[in-house]
Amino acid sequence: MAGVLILIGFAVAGVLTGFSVIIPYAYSKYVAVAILACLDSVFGALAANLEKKFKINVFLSGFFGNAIIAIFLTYIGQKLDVDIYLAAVIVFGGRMLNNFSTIRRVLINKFEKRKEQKIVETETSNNKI
Amino acid sequence: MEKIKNVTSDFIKKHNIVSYLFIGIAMFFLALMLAAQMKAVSDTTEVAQGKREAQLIDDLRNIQNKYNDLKVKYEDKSKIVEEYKNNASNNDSLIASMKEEQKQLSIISGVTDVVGEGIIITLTDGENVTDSSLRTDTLVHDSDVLTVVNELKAAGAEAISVNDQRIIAGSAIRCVGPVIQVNYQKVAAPFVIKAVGNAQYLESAMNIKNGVADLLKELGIGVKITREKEVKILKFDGTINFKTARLAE
Repeated sequence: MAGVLILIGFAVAGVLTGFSVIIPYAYSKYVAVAILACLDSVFGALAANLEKKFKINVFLSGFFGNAIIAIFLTYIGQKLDVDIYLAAVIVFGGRMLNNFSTIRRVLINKFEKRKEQKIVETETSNNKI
Repeated sequence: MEKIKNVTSDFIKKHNIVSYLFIGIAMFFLALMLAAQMKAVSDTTEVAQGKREAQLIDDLRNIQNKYNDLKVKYEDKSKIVEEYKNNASNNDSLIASMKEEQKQLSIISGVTDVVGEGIIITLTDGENVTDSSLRTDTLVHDSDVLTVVNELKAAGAEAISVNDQRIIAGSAIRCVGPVIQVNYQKVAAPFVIKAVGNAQYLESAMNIKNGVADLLKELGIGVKITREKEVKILKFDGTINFKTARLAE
């Protein structure tokens, strides 16, 4: 509970500071790719958390590393006049969808297990009667 | 004390606060970028395509900001100059004569607002092409404005402005696409040309038979000339720089 509150506090603070930050239009492409990379990391963390495989150092290195690499790729793409940022968009977009499907499957599995347990419980109670 | 410490460290360990803090920092950056990016995208209403246009938009924004800053600075400085002018002692006859000269020069150079009797000429784009017109359109051209200004000068106008752009010694009136440029500022029809001077002379110089007004009317341009007791002409609000010319010894 306390952890969720901390997360929400940081997110709100980020939004508030974000409104007073001005991104020059020429750089908005880089920021967009960085946002994609970060979102991918966050959903990856959610999925890993549900599977109980979450590691803080993996998350942090992925969060900042992916963003920096994505920005770097976009920069190189602009210099070479090849839209390499599309690669980042496709990869991160695909991984986000994968993470969603993982989250979905884990949640459905949990739900079904609970249902089975309930059925077993009711059966045992019926047997007692 | 020890107890409180233990309780807090237990709390931190139990709820995994440290890892949440790290994730929180990451979320902070993500939220910051998201908000800033959304604002930047919604700010640019017209989605410019290509990096060249994006570059130009940034340049324009920077220049506009710089221009506004400089204008504020300029106004501050001119206020200081004004103060110095007013504070100068009146007793000294030399200063008085210098002040008089300064007043005269500032009217000549156009760096001060002036009022006085004069005329206001309004040139509007015409609607129908007249048969006798040499042109295929009835728009007001840069040459028409130039002719009027020239005629006013010849008739003894002491101060002239076109759409509040003061005509000074270095003013150019020229065509830039659909509008005309005066003092490097774009002005568009209707053109309001104000002139301070002997109103009777000025008006008759305009209305003389086969004069400027007749010529322009023949081209299909709407010409309206009014005499005013009090015409106010704004000062020249650009900067005057002499890079080559210097006083001859």
